[in-house]
Formats: sequence, structure tokens, C-alpha cells
Amino acid sequence: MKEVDIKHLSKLANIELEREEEKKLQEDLNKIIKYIRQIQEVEVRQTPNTTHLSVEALPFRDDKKEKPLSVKEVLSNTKEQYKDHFTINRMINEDNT
Amino acid sequence: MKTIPEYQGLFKKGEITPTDLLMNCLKKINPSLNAYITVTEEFARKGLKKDIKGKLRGIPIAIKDNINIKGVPTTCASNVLKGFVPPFSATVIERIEKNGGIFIGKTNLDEFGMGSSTERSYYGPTKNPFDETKVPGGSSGGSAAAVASGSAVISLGSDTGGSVRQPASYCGLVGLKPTYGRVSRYGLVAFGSSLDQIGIIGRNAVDVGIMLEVIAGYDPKDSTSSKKEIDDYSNLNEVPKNIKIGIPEEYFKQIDPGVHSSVMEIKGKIEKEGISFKSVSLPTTGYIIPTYQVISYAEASSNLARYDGVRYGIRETGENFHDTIRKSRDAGFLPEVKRRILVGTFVLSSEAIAEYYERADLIRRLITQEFNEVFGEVDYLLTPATPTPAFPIGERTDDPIRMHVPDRMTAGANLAGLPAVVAPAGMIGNLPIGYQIIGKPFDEKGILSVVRLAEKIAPFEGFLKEVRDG
Repeated sequence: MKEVDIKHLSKLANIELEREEEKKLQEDLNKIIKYIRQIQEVEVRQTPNTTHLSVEALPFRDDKKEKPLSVKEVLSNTKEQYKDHFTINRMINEDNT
Repeated sequence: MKTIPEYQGLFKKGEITPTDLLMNCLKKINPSLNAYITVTEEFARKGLKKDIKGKLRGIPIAIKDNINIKGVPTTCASNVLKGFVPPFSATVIERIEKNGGIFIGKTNLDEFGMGSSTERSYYGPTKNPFDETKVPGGSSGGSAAAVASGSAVISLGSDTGGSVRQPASYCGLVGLKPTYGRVSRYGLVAFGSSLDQIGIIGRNAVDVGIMLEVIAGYDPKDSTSSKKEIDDYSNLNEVPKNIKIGIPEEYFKQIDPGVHSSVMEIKGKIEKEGISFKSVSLPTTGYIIPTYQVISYAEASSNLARYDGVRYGIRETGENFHDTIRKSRDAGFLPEVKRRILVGTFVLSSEAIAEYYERADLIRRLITQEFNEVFGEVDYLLTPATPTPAFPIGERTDDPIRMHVPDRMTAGANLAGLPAVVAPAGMIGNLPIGYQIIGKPFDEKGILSVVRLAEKIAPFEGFLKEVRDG
């Protein structure tokens, strides 16, 4: 089994890791993935996919307009806002790797 | 020990008032247990003033801190949600309020429900009220510790792989995970969306049944909630004699001998009531933990992508947009959550999805089929709730594999969407240990009736003094 590429995964998962933490997590990930690999042993060629869990069709709600949260309520937990918007650093014309 | 109907009888007679009961519960909050992240005394007092009549009138209730109460902080025991005050309440909270329930506080958990010990909390570990050197179980450990130590009469938790049932076992309580779809999850912070259910932790089957009557039922705000009629879940006096209970042999392997004998003792007592038992087999049981890990981690990695510091929670300032998000997430999550997000990202990545996620999904179907087949032969399954009693604090925090061991007994019901309840089987030394009854979809009344029968013929005598004295 090849080692997981933690740098690639942390980039995909949008988590910046410090060097020490990265080393420790690399070890943990290898252990966990080695453990979960045992699912390869199970014979599933005859088994259909899990498409749903419920025993019945999921019900639709009535298609009617309901009272939404107010803009003030929606913005109540953000750190920065401008008028009725969330704000964060610019993302265009930057190195967004 | 008093039940909810007994408390309400005392209110009616005027022997105690709901304020007396609240004061009594507040007095029993033991800071060294660290069961609560937020105590909501003022909120509770306001609730009492409204004096709403209903099934839960005047009953102090603790809520796991991943279920929203409008105006009260929801932390999920994570730094990432520091300062978050939800602008809306969960549907279960609205239903409890309409029935006169009083919220005493928000309880501790493993961050976002990811753990089996309530040690992995940004707010420090919760301790087991029976022995403070032991874990209370998790992730709803705060909700269990609160009820076991008398500071709440009943509590809500959430159960993704056993997070309500396992702490109930370690704390001598009744813990119910309803059928997937029985209780609305609107306002519950998502962890594994195809597995999560809000569950109940109480001291007896009737109390749990009353709470289920209040919170169950269709909710247009949760598209996975069922329109199926709810039952009278607290009317548990009759168990038909012709039922058959299965004993799945795989669940009795690699368990503490004391757990084995306690569960067998319960079986013997139920058998004497004229109920028959049958040995059955669920061959894929040995793969429940890795299957559960793959599916729950995958779903967690997707669900937790929302914590980006933009709309709520902490924000670390970075050099650019992506840097800000990455730094905020790094500062916000504890190591276990990062581990799960990273493994979840791996099993969903293009190079690994077929071997891991898609395969786990097939095994999940296999596990479900095995349950369905067995439920053609028997009505319920009796299993241990956990392989051992509560383990020492600190014993497993560095071992991401060993921490999952108790899930072997409980996560099958989540993978298959089945209802399951844990109740006390007895004590091993000074620590309680539970048994589990798993039922067919939507047969919550049936599994609670079996627990009620066991309570009558083999009452649990291990409750702590704080609870016994009411």
C-alpha cells in the first residue's frame, strides 16, 4: 500500500497543517487506512448499492413560501460584513492555489 | 428515583413546584464532572414563567450542544464555532417548548460528535459520575453524565454510530436511537447525514417514551423525516408473549466476561416471562467498524466543509481568500476532527473512491440485508451495549483505532437505519453496564416495551444517591 499524500489531502480539505502536526497525522492516517483496508476482504459482487435508507419514499414538503430568516439574523454570526453581505479577502487576481 | 409522570403527579398535588425541581437540579450540577458547556439558568426560569401545559411541563432537560436553541450558543465542543449563537431552534426544541419542557443547559460532547469518550472536547473532558477517573462514554457523554448525576431528568443527544447508547451503557441509563427518519434533524449540526439521528437519554423506558412522543413525527424542514404516524411510545405495559428475541452470536465474541454474564442474566429473566429466544447469525458484524468509519468520515469531510470562517465561527486572517479559510480551519478543529476530515477526503478522492467509499456502501447494504433476513425469523435482537464497562480517561486518546472498539455493538443499527435502545443490565464493580435491544424499522414502541418488561422483573439498583433521592 502506498503512503497517502497528506499535503495533497490537506489542500483538498482546505486545512493548513503545521509541520509537526503533519508528521503525526501522516502516521495516524497510514494506520487508519491500513485498518479500513480490511473491507476489501468482503465479497460484495452480488450486492446492490445502498440507494436509500428509508423504508418509504421520502415525502416532499408542500410547495409554499415560508418565512425565511431576516438578513440581520443571517449576518448575526459573521466576523465582517459590508451592508447586507458577508465579506472576506479578495479572491480574484490573486494566487488562489 | 422518580419518573416524569411521578414528578407531574407531585406538581398537580402541589407537593413540589417546577421551580423546586429546577432548583434541585441546578444544585446537583457538579462542576468537576464538566457535563455542561453552557448552563441556561436564566433561560430555564423564563421557561418556567410561561408555565406551558404539556407532556413535559416543568421537567428540566439537558440538550447536547450540537442541537440549536435559538439565542443560546451552540459550540459543538469546537473552537471553530466559538461565539456562534443560532438564529433558529431545532424542531425538537420547538416541540419540547410546546410541551412545557425546561432547558437547563447545553451538554459537553466530543467535538462535532466525533468520539466515544467525551474527551475530545475543546472544553475539556466530561467525567463519569460513577467514577471520575473513567470516561462517561461519548459522544453524548455530557447528556448522560447530567442525567446520571441528577442535574437533568432527561436529555437529548445525537447518535451517528452509538453516541447516545454507548454513554447510556457507561452511565446506567436508557438510551434510544430512533429509526432513521423518525425524528427531525432540522437544527442538529450534521456529522454523518445518512447515519445521524437525535436520540434520548433517560432513567427509564417510560420517560424516554414520553420524550419520543413529543419529538417524533414528520417535519417539512427535514426531507428525511417520515410521515409515518407516531405511536403511544410511553404506553409500554404489554409485551406480547409470542414474540421471539434473537441472540446474534457475533455480538458476544471478544467481550468482557462480566458483560456476557450480565446480558445473559437479563436474557434468563425475560425467558422466565415466557418469551422465547433463538440464536441467529449476522456474519458481516466483524466489518461494521471499518465500514462505519469509511462512510461516516466521508460524510463528515463533506459536512464540515462549511466551517470556513465566512458566515460564522472563528476567522484567522490570511494573506488571501484560501489562506484565510485554511488558517481558520486549522485553528478551529482539534486533531481527531482533522484526522476524520482527511481520511474522509481520501476515501472520496478519485484514486480511492472505488476501493473504499463505494465498497463500504456495498457492505452497508449487505449488513442491512443480513438484519432484514434475521428479522424474518425474530422480532428483536438482544446484544451487549458495549464490550466493556467505561474505560479510564486518557487510555485511548492517542489510539484512533482502539477508540472505535465500542462502536462494534452499536454502529450496525446506524448503518441499517434501525431503532435500538440500551438499558442497564447491572454493575461490574462500581460501573454500570448495558444491554441493547435492536428492532425493526419504526418499532420503537416494541423495543421500549421489552426494556419496560426488564425494568419490572429486574429493576436496576445502581442509580447514584443524587438520582435515587429524586
